[in-house]
Amino acid sequence: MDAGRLAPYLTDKIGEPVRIVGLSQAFPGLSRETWLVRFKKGSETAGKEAGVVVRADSQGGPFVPVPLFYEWQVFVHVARTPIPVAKPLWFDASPEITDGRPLFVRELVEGTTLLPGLADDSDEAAERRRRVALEHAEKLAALHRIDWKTYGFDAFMDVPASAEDAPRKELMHWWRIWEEVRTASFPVVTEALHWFEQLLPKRAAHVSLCKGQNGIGEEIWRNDKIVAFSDWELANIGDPCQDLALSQGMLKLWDRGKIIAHYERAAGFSLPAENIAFYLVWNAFKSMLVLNNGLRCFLSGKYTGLARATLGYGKVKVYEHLLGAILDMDLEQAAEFIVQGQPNPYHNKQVTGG
Amino acid sequence: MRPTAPELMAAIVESLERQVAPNLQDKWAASALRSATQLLNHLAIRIEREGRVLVEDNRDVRHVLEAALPRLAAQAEFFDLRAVVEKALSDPEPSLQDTAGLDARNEIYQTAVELLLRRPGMRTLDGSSVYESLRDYLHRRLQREYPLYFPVFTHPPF
Repeated sequence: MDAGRLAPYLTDKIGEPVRIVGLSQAFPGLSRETWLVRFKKGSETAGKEAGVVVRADSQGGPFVPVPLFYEWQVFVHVARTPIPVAKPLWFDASPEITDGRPLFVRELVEGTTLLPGLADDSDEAAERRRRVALEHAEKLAALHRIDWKTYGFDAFMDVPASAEDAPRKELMHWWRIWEEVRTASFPVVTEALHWFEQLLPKRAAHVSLCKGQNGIGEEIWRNDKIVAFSDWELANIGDPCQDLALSQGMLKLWDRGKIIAHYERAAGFSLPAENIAFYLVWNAFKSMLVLNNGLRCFLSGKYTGLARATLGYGKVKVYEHLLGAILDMDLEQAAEFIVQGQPNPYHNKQVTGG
Repeated sequence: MRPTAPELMAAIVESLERQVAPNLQDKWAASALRSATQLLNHLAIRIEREGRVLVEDNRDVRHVLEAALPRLAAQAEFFDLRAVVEKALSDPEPSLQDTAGLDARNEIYQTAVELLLRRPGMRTLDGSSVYESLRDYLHRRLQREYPLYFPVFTHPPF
């Protein structure tokens, strides 16, 4: 993103002269590009500072095989609810400033995506981890209680026919996508998909608006509170247990049972342990799918950023081995194995983003 | 030839980590360097082992598919799969030095294995012996290629 090209673009969109005073790309942000833009608008002398976030498809396309417009729609709909989210401003399907890659723009929310020091070995850090875990559980419960029909999410999201249908719908949806995007034959993964099919939860804990990827690295935090839910590209209507499972290690921050009990009190419904176990393992498959999709542009030569190879090839092989190892395990053993095998990449990072 | 390719790669990685990484202030550049060293570490192992792993794996999977063939031929519902497996087994094996050819061959075998595993009736064919042999093969395959990816790709991804 070039400030020289961005200023006239924002001037045109906002309808006032814009001078960029700060431009940085949120790190690591590999799935899609997220640019934090601070600018002054109005006359040189009376300029008022403001900020926006520009979210754009990466060169070579996103890792997550979901169109950016889908995430934009989620932002627009969530903004109508009481759930904290940055105000969405506009979507641009093919702007010149990104050489035709789609983008959308939202307001900048002051805060950070990561919480430096959270993993420190001290009593204060341990107490902080407890507070952060409970804050996350409460906010997630509030999201899962939203009446998604009232807010129109079913206008653009697939909706399971019932709580009984939700787990199978999730499985088949991503199984189909896997068949479309994978870069080679993966018989081990085929076996793993059969394993998932045999161990599908009987019913979802609730049929909720789920965020998808969530937790540290995915939301905007201020004073250890979530002030805006951020990445929404994997949002869907389904079993809320999947969000607890895909929460970037939030369940490891403190006593897992107590975090879940806290969530259940806030949500007003309980989370079956076998559902959480299922989605903990399922996320290994889903992560692998997303990363392998990111390799396609590398193989085609369209974009050969090195992270595409380390993640889309190397990490995918690691996930394939993890999935291969669970084939002879029961659900509980597999969940424990997967959780132990996936250190969270975010908890020690010193990185910010709004 | 000395230094060997793995020795050269190890020296490159050591130099990048000791002399370049500490002087990189830009987090994106540092991330790219971590990716580069991770890939070099992988290549150092892959150069030495890839050919051997492919030869062993092709021999192994070929044997499993050959053993499955008569059982597939015994039941009409598997005739289509029998044709797929026969086709996979019909091409000549590439030479031991032709890594790209061995890899292409391996992908053909994997596709055949995957097709077999997808068919629901495969689990009970011949008292599940075909299915068990496929599953056993997958475990051997994972063990065989394990050193190519572990521990290299278990380090932080960015």
